[in-house]
Amino acid sequence: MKGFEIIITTDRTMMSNHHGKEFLGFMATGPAIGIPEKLWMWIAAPKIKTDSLGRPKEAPYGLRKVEAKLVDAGFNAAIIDPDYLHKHLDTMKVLMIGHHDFFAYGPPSSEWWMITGKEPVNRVYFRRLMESPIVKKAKEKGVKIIVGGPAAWQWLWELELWRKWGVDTVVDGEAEKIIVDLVEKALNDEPLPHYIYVGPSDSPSIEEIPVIKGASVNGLVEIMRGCPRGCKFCSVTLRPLRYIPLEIIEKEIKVNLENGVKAAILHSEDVLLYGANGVKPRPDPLIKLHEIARKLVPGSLAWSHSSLAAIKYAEEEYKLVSKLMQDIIMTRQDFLGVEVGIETLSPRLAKIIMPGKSAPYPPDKWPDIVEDAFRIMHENLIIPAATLILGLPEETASDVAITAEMFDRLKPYRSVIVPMFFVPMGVLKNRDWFRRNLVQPEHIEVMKKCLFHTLYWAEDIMNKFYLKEPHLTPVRLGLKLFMRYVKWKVSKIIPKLEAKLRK
Amino acid sequence: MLQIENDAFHMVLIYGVDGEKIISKAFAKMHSNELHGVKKFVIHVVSPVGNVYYLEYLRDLIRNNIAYTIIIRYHGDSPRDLEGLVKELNDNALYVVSRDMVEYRSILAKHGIEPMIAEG
Repeated sequence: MKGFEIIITTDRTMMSNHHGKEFLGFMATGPAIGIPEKLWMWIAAPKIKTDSLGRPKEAPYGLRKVEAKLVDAGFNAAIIDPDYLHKHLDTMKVLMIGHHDFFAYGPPSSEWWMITGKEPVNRVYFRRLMESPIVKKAKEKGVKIIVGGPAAWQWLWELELWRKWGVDTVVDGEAEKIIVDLVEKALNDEPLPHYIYVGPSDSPSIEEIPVIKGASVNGLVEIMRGCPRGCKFCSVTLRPLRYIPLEIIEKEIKVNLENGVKAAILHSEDVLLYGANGVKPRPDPLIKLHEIARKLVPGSLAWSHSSLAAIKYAEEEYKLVSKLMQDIIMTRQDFLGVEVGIETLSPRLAKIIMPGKSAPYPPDKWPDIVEDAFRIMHENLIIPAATLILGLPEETASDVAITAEMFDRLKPYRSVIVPMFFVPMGVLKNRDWFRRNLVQPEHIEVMKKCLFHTLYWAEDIMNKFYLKEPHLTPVRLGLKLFMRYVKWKVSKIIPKLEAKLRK
Repeated sequence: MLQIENDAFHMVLIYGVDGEKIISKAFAKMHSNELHGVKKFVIHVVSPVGNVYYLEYLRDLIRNNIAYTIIIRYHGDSPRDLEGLVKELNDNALYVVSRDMVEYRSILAKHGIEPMIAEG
């Protein structure tokens, strides 16, 4: 078979299934700490299997959607592993590159970078890809480079690299309605726009969203787009709310199964709002969705994200979380993983920055909602990876102190809680300023609590639930070693940091 | 031109290192009553600031207008590049230029185009 004209790719940190454990992918957002980079990368983002042309067995879902749209339109397009680009140099006319954090400006990469002073591996590997001889050669022979994905905005802060690497177009937003036209223009050598931000009025309808053609990483399938919460700062909420029909979800799960991926991650901004009445979960669509997924998927099911308010509401109104877990999900697995956002435990701050997040409950009840949802998840063997955001623009020392105090209420519940810093873009290039001015003693207190909580529960999670498969023993040992190193390192750093902050 | 550009509102921004005031004029225009209901903008740029570096001035405009579709096209840095663009777009666009970019303004005047002027 000849090579492809349109090559879709990303760097090594993204082109991986992270040993089938999505959460390990988070390590690819940090620098190698305490262990050699090669070992770090082997744990975080091992190479994926490919066919002889370099087509990966699993690829990021966003790339799969772009591939499907182009293939459906009749283009000779394919996703290719970054190590196999050379096989297509002669035929390549357009190189499309996606990433969720090109330059490590997103959370938690930026935070890792600030704290350690070392470039995260995702940034390092993306730069290596762009500066590889093969990408340079492609550019020299006139290949058009189109980049996109959720981190597209970062290019606006990297104009030097944009120019140096010869990127033709940056696409920001849902691409389905423009991508075929854009690629056609690129193939015809017509002038391309530099930047496209696809606004809500150009969001694709359900009919315009294609079904993936190959397996997605760890069987991720989208169940809805958009979010009804209406937070002012968020672009997702401006877009129309679209529930992907069950038959399409079923088709995509089958694509994954046929390609050897036996698990599924149901993806949405808030999985429990699938088919909801506004922000109130409804049992019927959720039960049907999970019954279909459970019937088809022999391996584990996971939720990408859920809001804590939806977990509380679903359980308290309908015992729905228990029903989904005990009657459907747990018939073939012993836990379920999900990402949730705490962000703050201060009701005052919650009211300012995320008034819609607690709905249908009032924002002043936010700490109770968080605790209730954590209890419900713990009782139902749902293991959340939660985020807290520190350093928000309107945050006061008292907000952080309240968060630290309320944090103790979460101690009994099995979870991983990761503090993230809100890092203004202007500050990213001045890491010393960040350390000197942004990190306050109250933040250290919250970070310490998060770390000790997470280390305690991570041990329990690894012993009882995670990485139990015999072939993952080396990964488990590697992680345990890393955790021991972190404990040791933190015991050295924290007293020094506290003394510095007291001065 | 992409199909989604067909029914968009076209603006031509001509700016140098004083780009902020041109951008703020453009921003105000996008939010004016006159353009109420417009959801899509194509922003054509002619700027001696140079290829891709001109985008530094457009960051905030893009990031603070997530309710709109925004397409950015660069046409070059010289008055001649502007002339080429004017021939293509004629008066089907709104032109915004800084008062002190005299050469560029004279091109617009030659083609009978009355731009919005940002004071220098």
